[in-house]
Amino acid sequence: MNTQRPVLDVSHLGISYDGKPAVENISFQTFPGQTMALIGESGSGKSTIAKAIIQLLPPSACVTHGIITLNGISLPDATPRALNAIRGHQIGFIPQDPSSSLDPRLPVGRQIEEVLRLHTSQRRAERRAHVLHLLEHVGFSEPERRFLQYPHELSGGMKQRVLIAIAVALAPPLIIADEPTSALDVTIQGQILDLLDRLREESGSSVLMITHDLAVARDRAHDMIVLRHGQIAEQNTTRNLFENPRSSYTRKLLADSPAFHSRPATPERPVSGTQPAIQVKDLTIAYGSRTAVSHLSFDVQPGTTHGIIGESGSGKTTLLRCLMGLIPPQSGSVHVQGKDIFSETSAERRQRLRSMQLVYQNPWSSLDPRLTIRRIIEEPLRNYFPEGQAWRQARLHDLLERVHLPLALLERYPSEISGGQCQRVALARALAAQPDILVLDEFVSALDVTVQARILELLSELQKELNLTFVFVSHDLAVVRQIADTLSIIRYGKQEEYGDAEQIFREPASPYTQTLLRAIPGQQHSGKAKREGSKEW
Amino acid sequence: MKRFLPPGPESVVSIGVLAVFGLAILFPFTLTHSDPVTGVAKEHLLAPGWTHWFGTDQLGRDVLTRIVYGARETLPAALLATLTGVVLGAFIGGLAALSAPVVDAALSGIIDVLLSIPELLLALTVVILTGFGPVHAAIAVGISQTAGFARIIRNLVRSLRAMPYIEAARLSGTGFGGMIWWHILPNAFRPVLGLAVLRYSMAILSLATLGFLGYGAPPPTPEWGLMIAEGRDYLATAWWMTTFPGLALLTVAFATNRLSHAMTRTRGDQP
Amino acid sequence: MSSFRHVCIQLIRALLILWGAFTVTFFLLQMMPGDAVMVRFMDPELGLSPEQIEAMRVLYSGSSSPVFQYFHTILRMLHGDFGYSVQLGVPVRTLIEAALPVTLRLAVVGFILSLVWTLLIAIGASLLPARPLRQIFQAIPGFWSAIPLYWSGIFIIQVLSFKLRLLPVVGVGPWEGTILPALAVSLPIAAPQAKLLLQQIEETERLPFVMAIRTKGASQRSVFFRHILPNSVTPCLTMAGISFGELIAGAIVTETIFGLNGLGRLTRDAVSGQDVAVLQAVVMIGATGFVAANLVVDLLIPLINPSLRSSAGWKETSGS
Repeated sequence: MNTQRPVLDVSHLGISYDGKPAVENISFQTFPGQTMALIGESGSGKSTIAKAIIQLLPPSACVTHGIITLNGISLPDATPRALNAIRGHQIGFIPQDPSSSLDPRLPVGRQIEEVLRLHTSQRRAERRAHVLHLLEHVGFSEPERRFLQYPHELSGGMKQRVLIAIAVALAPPLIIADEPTSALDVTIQGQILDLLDRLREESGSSVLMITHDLAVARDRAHDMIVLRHGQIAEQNTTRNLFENPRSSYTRKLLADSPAFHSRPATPERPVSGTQPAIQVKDLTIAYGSRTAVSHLSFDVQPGTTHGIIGESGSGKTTLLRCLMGLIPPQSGSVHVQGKDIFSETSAERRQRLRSMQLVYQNPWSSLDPRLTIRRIIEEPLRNYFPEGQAWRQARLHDLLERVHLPLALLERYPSEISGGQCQRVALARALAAQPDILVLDEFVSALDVTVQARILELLSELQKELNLTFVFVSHDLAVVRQIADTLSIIRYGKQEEYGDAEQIFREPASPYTQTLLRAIPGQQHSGKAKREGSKEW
Repeated sequence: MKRFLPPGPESVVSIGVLAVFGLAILFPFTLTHSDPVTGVAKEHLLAPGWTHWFGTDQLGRDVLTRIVYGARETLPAALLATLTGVVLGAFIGGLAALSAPVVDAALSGIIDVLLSIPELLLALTVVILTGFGPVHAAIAVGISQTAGFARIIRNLVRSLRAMPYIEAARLSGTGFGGMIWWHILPNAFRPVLGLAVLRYSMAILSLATLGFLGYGAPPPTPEWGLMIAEGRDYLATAWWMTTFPGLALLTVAFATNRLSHAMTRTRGDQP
Repeated sequence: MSSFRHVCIQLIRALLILWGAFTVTFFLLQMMPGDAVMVRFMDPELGLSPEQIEAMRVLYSGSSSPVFQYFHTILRMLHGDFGYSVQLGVPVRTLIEAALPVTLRLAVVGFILSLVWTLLIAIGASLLPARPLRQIFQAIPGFWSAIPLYWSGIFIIQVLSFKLRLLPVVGVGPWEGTILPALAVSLPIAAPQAKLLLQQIEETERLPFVMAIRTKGASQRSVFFRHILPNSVTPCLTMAGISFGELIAGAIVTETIFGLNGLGRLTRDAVSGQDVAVLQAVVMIGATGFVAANLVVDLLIPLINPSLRSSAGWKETSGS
C-alpha cells in the first residue's frame, strides 16, 4: 500500500446520464509523481469520469453517489466560484483533440496568459515573461514568435504543446490528460508523451491519463485501471496487468491489440510469375498547384494485401483516389489487370469500377442515412446485375452471412447500428459487385480494438475464400503489420520504402521507416514500472 | 408522417393551432354565424363583449367573423406563394448545384442579383408588373422568395454531393439520375421542407403587408392586413379593430415558425 | 491572393450585382402593361390634346425602343439623373434628396437598435441564471419574426403614445420623431439576426475549445464574453449586412404608419401611381444599400477572424 497521501481520491463514484447509469462504483487514488491510466473502449465511461473529476459534466449527467476529493477537498461540494479557482490551478487538463481545443481567434500566447490572469495577481509584463518561459519549457525554440501566432499557424503537435503549457502553467498537483495523443501522428505522439513525462517528473504532479491505447498506457503509466461498460474490469500495476492479467476482459484486450503481435503465420501466397492485379509506375499527381504524390511505383499481386502507410499529409488519400481513377495523374501510369485505367472506354471503366471497390474510412458518412441497409447493399446488385428480385434476395442473404451480420438488420437505418456493423455493411456492399480488388481507406481506424480485431479477421477470411486483392491504406503500422504482404511507406508524397512487409518490419532500410517503427508505442516493455521501480499495492 | 412531424409539446401545440385555422379555411360557418361582409349599421364600433367577442368595426361587422373568413384569404395565398418560391428555387438552385461550373457561376450570379433587391421591393416591382389583387400578390411574394430558396437549396445539394455516400453510390454503379432520385432528393427533402415551413410563415406576413398597403384584395374583403389598415383610422377609439387581426397573424405565423423550428431541430439530432 | 486583390474583386463583384439589379428591374418595369404617361394624361379633366400627350410621352422618354432607353437610363443614372416622376412632374432626384435623409435616419437608428436587441437577447439566453428565463429569451427571435411590422408600429403608437403619453408622434423634431418608428422597425430586423446568433452560440458552445477553456477555471461569464461571443458573430455580420437592405423595404410600412415623408412613402405612392422612374430609383438605392453593407461586412470579417486572414477561406463566409 502506498504510504503517501493521495492527490486525488475517488471512491464509489456512480454517474448516470438521463437516469441510465453510465459509470458505477469506481474507486481509485492517484499519487504525486505517478501516472495512472484509465483504459477503455468507446462507451466505457472513461471520459465521463474525467469530466466528473473536473466537475464539467454535461447537464444531462448526474453524479448519483460517491466521493471525489482533491488533496482533501471534496469537489462535488465546492461552490462554482471555488471550482473555478481549482480548475487550471489545482487541476490541469489536457484535452483530446489539439486542433480544435484552442480558441481560433486568439494568439496562443494570450491563451496561455489567460490561465495566469485567472489565477495569479501577476502583472502584464510578468505574465508575458512567464508565458515565454513556459513556451520554451514545452519545447518551442522561438517563444517570442510563437507567442503571437494563431492556432491555425501551428501544427497539431505544436498545438498540443501549447495546451500542455496551459495545463502545467501553475504546476497543478493533478494533471488530467484525456487521450492526449490519439489525434496525433505516431512520430509526434512519442515526443508529446516524453514531454508530459518530463514535466511530471519535474513538478511531481500526479497524472491521470485517459486512453484507449493499451500500448501507450504500457509505456507511460505506473498503474492502470481497465474499464468496461462503466465498471472497473481490472485495477493493477502496469507490470502485473501485462504479465499476469487477472480479468478475462483484459486478456481479450491484450489479445486483440495489434501492437503486441506480429502477423499470424500465413502460408506462402502466389507471388511472382502472374500478372500483377495493380501496377503503378512512376506516378505523379498534382493537387491544385502543388505535387501531392511524386514518382511512386509499386505492384500488387493477385490475392495479396498491399499496405500503404503514411502520416497525415503524406498524400495517401490522393494516391488512393487516383488508383480508383477518380483523379487523373500528372504523369506515370496505373494498370489494373493489365489495362491502363486512364485510356479506357466508358464500358471498360464501368467494368473496372465493378471489379475494383473502394471502402471508406468513416463508418457512417459512407452509408446514405435515408436508406435501409437492404437498399444500400442492393444498390450494386441492381446496377451491375440484370437478374431479378429472387436472385437479389438470395445474394443479399449470402452477403450478410459472409460478413456475419444478422438478417434482422436489413430493415434498419445506418444511424441505428454500431460502427463495426456499419463497416460490415460497407464491406457487404463492396462485395455485392463481385470485385477482384478491394481498396480500403483507413478502414478500421475509427473502431475500438476488439471490433478492429474482428474486422481484420473477417478481411483475411474473405481474402482466402474469394481470392481478393487488397490495397490497405492506414496510418497505423501495427494494424498494417497484421495484414499486409507487401508495403509502401510514403512521406510527403514520396515513396520512402517499398517491398516485402516482414522484411521491412525486420530490417527497415530508410531512416524514416526506422523512426516510424521506433515510435510505435508499447515497446518500452512494462515502461515506467520497470524503469523507476513500481510501488506495490 | 412520423419521420417528418416530430413528437413533442411544441409541435403538438403548433399543429393544434394550425388545425383551428385550417377549420376556419374549410368550414368558417362552424366557427361563426355572422356575415363577414355586410354589417349591422347600428352596431358599429362596439367594444368586445358577450355578443361580439372581438368587437365590431365601423360598418358594424363582427371582427371575429371577419378574422375567421380572413383565414381563407391569406393562408391559401401564402401557400401558393411558398410553393411558387420552392418550385422555382429548387429548380434554379438544383440546376446550379448539379450543372457544370460555368452554369453554376451564371445561375449563382443571377441569384446574387435577385438577393440584392430587398424582398418587399422586388415583390412591389412584380406587383406593378402584374397588377394588384390577391393572386398577383401571392405570385409576387413567391417570386421575391425564390432567390433565397435557390441559394440555400444550391448550397444544400452541393454539400450533399460532396458526401462520401454519394461517391460510394457512384462507385456502386449508380448513374446520375439514380444519384438524384435515390440519394439527393431523399436527403434534401427534410431540410427543404423545414425551410419551406419557415418561409410559409414569412409569406403570410409579406402577403398581409401587401394587403395592408392596399395591393392585395380590395375592400370589403376580410383580409387581415387590409383590416389592420382600415382599423388605423380608429386607432384612438377602437383598438380592437387593429389588435385582433394582428394577433391572428401573429398566432398563425408563430405557430408555423415553431413547427419549422421543431422539424429542423430533430434533424440535427441524428448522426 | 493579396488582400488588395481581394478588395478589388469584391468591388467588381458589387458593381456587377448592382448592374444586374438595374437590368432586372428595368426590364421588369418596362414590361409594364398600360403606359404610365397615358394613365396620367389621358385624364379628361386635364383636357390635353393627343399632340400634347405625345409630346409628354417623348419628354418622359416613353416612346423610344427599350434597348435605347436602357443604355440612355444607365448613362443618366451614372450622372445622378434619375429622370422625371410621371406622377408629380418633378425630377426624381429632387424627390429622393428630400426623402433620403428621413429614411436613412430611420434605417441607421433602427439598425443600431436591432444590434442592441440582438446582443441583449444573446446575453439573456446564455447567461441568465434560471433555465426557464433563458428559454424565454431563446424563444424571442421566433416570436418577433412572427410580428407583422405595421402591427407592432400601431401597437407602439397605441401604448407608448396614446396610453402612456411617453413620446408624441406628431409635431416633434426629426430625431425624436425617429425613435418610435425605429423601435418598430428594429424588432423584425433583430429577429433573424438574433436567431442566427443564438444558433451560432449554441454551435460554438459545443466546440471542444470551450470545454478546454472551462478547464482553465474561467467563469461562465468570462468564457461567454471572451471566447464564445467573439467566435459566433462572424455569420451574424453577414446577416446584418442583408438586414440593412431590408430596412429600406421596412421603411415603406413604417413611414406609412408614422406619417414620415421618406423613401417608403415615395415608394408607396410610386407603386400606386405606377411611377416607374421613382420605383426604379428606390430599388437601386435599396440594392446599393445592400451591396455596400455586404461589402463592408466582407472586408470586416477577416479583421475579426484571424484564421481567414490568409484569404484561403474568405469565400466560405460570404456564402449562405
